[in-house]
Amino acid sequence: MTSPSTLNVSKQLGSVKAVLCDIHGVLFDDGDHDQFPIPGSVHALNRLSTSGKVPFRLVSNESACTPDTVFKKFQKLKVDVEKSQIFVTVPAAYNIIKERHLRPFVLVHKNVQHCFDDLDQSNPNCVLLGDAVDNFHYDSLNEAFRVLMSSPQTQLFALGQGKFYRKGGTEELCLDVGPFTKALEFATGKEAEIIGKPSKTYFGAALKDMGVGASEAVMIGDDIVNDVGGAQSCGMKGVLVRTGKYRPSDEDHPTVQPDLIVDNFAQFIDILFKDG
Amino acid sequence: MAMSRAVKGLLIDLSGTVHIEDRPTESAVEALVRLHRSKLPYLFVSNTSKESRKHILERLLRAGFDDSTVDVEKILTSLSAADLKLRTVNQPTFPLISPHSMVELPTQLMHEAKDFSQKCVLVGLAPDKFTYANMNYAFQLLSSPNSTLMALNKGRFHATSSGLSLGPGPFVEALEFATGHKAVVIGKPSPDFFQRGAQYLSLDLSECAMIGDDVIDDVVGALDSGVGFGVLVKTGKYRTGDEQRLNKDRFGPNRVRVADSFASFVDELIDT
Repeated sequence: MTSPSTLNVSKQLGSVKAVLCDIHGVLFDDGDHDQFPIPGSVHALNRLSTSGKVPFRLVSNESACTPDTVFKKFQKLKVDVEKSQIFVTVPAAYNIIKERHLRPFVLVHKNVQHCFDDLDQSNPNCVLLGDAVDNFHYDSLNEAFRVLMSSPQTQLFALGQGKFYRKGGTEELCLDVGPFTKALEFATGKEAEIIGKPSKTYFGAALKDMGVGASEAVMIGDDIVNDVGGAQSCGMKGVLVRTGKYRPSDEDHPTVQPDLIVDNFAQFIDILFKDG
Repeated sequence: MAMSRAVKGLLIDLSGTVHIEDRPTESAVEALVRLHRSKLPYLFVSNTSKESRKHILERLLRAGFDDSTVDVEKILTSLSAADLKLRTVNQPTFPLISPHSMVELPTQLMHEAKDFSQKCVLVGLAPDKFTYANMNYAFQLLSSPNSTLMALNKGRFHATSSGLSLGPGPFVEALEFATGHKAVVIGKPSPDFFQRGAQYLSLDLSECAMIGDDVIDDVVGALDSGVGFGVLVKTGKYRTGDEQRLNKDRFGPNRVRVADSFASFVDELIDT
């Protein structure tokens, strides 16, 4: 386990005013039936949280749950964070749509459909797609299509762009929101705005939430492209962990060079606090 | 008009060009009679993946077309072209196609049970079949090696009486994106399909003109495939500005035409 010197770390990360932290693969990982915390992560996160020195957001592409659901899960595991520190795609989408004064046609997972209830959805002038599972069928996609075709200005938003995911606790692979977004892009000739890593819109919203600029923030994640590369594209520093979906070949990635590579989240927090 | 001398046969799109559902486009019935009398060979080329040729014929007759001018032998559809392709691939196939369409296909190869026996997925226009469960099953089938994704066409959308409606293309695109497969496309704008049309007319493709309402799948697709002339009509799914996508610079202005309708094009062609 390499321990970069304090001086080197300052050089690599600069002055850190905020932290964005991926959840899956950094704090938790998949077990046979459920998720389990990665050793040292909960303690490290609590250390970050209780110090109060550095604002942070736990950033995830989760689009079938609300911060509340994640918060309750964290409480059970004795993780000391506030709901407002949990950044998932649904509230980010809600805020973006509200800020732009848009009326959305909402086609998302049934668990989060209600989150958009108090937005005006009459005569929609934009479309929001999430991993709607059974709500994806010809009629619902056709309706979304017609909304998009009603004017050149109507925007398509998608909560992430994953191709597929593994159904919890099984080996079964299931279509995610990405293929259905591509379907509508193909039909309409429009380009979707992605609300989720690695989009600038999403990272930007998290930074805005903390009132910091990109150059003052660090993103830590296990996905070299979407977490690290995505963060760097926005002007943030990107730190890669050697847990979760990390593979040794990531350290020789052709296009992305992390600003720092750590064994795990706990090591990152050690380094951060050693830095003062 | 130089075109009238060079055009020895017509490939004519159906839906949106000659008819919209059960109604002919403006003056199409009379125009087809005149075309038939002129003895210029023609073939209807349709990307329909919902209807058999017999169904199409019945629809054209209901719309008022004269029975001397329309016949199943004058219709080439992506379904009829798929029949041969499927027999060549010769694998159990999961059909995301409408029940009507099954009659034109080798039924012994069509297998609907979700038992993971299929090595091929065939996609056509089948609104009732595009459920998440079916799309997901197709995705899982295509995730195994040596599987084939076949599309009757990749139509983006088409005009219906209730407005624009999604074609099979977006669903094929979804599966291509999810699995990395490139679909084998049977109908327009696949060059094989236009070639087959020219063969039916015993002509070289360069001697044919293709006329249709879909700027990409009908006109540009045909020109790219080597058809002599491409004619865009302003009916059906045509939208203002589609002319800009005709790429006249690439094909040369002589090979490209825009007409108000099928009838107005036939008028120009026959009268000169």
